Amino acid sequence: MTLDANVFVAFLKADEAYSQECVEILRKVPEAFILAEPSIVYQEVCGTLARRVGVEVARIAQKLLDKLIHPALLVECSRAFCLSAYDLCRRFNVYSIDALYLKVALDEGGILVSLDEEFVDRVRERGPPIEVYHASELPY
Amino acid sequence: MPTLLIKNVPEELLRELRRLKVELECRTWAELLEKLVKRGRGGLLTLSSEEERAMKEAVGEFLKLREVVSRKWSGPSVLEEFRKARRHEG
Repeated sequence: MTLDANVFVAFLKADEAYSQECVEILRKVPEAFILAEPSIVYQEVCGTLARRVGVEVARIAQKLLDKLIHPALLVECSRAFCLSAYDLCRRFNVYSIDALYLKVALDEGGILVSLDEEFVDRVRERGPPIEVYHASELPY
Repeated sequence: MPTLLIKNVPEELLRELRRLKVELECRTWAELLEKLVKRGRGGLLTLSSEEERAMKEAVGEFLKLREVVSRKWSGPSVLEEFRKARRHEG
């Protein structure tokens, strides 16, 4: 399963809409799901925490992401990876960073979960070969 | 080093292999084979009990961070923050 970075951060912010749903999703790791993520998840989660909460908390989150994401399923956002992902922006009418998460989910044949309903809707509209859910509606 | 000669490779498969060779930044076909084998193992990833325990611990430790993040977070909602960061909104 590929979680958009916003799911990790919403998990951490208890008063965020759908925070509890994000907790329930992450609680299913690793028994029900194993995470496959693009490496940009570090920048998005830790960068957001550094900016909004503090660098110390961001560093803790970084170490937790290290434990949570198996190295074999952490996809480096290399030049080659980005080159292979950008056509998804057109095919699915999504923004650049969104396409990186989508690419990992497609490559792994996994489930994509995001807090951003618009992202989810845009992907779904084009009939992807994977399951795509808003954080509030994961059926598992 | 031994040499591997592969006959009767379908055109479509060859095209896909060429694409992967570029995408995975392999200088040689041997490098591509090595990466594909490792990827294949990744597809059948089995977690060791230690890795599984570490992941469970990480989820628990993430939960402990909720209090401090919720208390110290100042600014917009998470979704707004991400949409701004990704330039979905002005």
